Amino acid sequence: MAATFAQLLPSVVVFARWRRTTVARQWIALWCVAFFLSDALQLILSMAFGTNLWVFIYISPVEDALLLWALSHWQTRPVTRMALRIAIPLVIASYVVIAIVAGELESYKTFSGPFRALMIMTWTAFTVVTNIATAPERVWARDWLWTCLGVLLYFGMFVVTEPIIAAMPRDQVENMFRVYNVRAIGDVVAFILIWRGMRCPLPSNSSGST
Amino acid sequence: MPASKQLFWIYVAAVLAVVVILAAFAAALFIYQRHNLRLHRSYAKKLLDAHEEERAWVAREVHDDALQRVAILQHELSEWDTAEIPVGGPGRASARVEALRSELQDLGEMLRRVAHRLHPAIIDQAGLVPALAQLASDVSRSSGIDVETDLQDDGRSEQLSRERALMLYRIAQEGLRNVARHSGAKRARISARAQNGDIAVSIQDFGHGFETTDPSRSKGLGLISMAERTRLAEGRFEIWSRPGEGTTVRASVPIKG
Repeated sequence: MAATFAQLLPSVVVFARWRRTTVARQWIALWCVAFFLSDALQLILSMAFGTNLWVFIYISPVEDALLLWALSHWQTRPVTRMALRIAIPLVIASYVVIAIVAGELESYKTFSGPFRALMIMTWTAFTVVTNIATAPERVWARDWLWTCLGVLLYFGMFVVTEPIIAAMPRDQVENMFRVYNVRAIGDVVAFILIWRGMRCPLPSNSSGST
Repeated sequence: MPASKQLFWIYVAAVLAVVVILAAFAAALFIYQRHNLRLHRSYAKKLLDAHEEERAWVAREVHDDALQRVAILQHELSEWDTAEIPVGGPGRASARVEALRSELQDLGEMLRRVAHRLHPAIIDQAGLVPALAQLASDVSRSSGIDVETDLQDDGRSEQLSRERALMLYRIAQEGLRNVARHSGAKRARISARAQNGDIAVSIQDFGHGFETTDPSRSKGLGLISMAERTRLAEGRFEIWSRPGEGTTVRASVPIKG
């Protein structure tokens, strides 16, 4: 529950200064809202009906599109900005292919999980590396750094914990909860990092350099 | 689903992720390359237009101003030559000499202006900093904008090659021209500083500013030419602007190299 509400932290900061913030931060805030709504809806549905996986099918492409669009605003070169934007329809098309191939909800999550984690972590790591490489000064006060670290931690926790949970026998409920708790702590830290990024001072409005 | 089959599909999903990333990059590179090609063609066309415009300006100045003045001088001199006794006596003669002198002075001024626009000789004679000071004063006089100067290069700009000094001068000239044409500012500042082996020239105005975009998206040639000149000098070109907060253009080039 704490992990779910932590997802709203970055949005609160951005919504409070919506007109005086950057476009990238606005999209990150929307991404966080989509995350929160998805988790909240899944929680409510699981309590009411016992199944919530279909929410994941519809919302994960939207979440990924929002995140890729936000990351595109932090690209240092026009060609990588364009690549990220081109990737959005390709990612959505891939989700459709995975859904058709998987056939059932459980399999869909099993296949789309690695696809999603690999995709998002690659783009995020790429963004942080290229931005650090071209940053003319210290990067600690840059929103992209904290946001990318948060995103990497979130999907990193997903990549690490998901196979452990999948490998556990169904009767080890207690151990499963332990793993979920560790992941929840990681998720809270991830969104605190993103929240930290949203509180960074605004960069000066520059056209960039040649 | 058996574990081995599941593992196979997870592997396929990972491959799909890599394919999507590579496809996005390939498509972006393809589109960007075509866009660059179009951009280069448009630069070339704008450059040719600018050349033609410059030639037209010189021709206009020479035809409309210099040649008219030369014709007047010829006319005056031939009248002088044919008249045996100066009409109006010695007083009138002295007034005509004065008028001729003033005409020649104007002609000299006009030719100097044309020559300076074609190539600012002050850079070769006195260096970048005096040339920038002169430019600020010229712009102040011609446009009415109060151009402040802050030129603290510690004498390091003298080590700049002639080409780089000329590039920085041209960037400052273009920057101030933009200030006069588009900013609506009453006040501007031009500064030159030596920093970490670079000379940086900034042109700041306190006008209405604009939403900055990539210089390559600019419709005119001004920002593009400034960015291109800086790139040729292996330097760095930056623009900061926000609506209502003025604009700063900064070009820094290495002193050596």
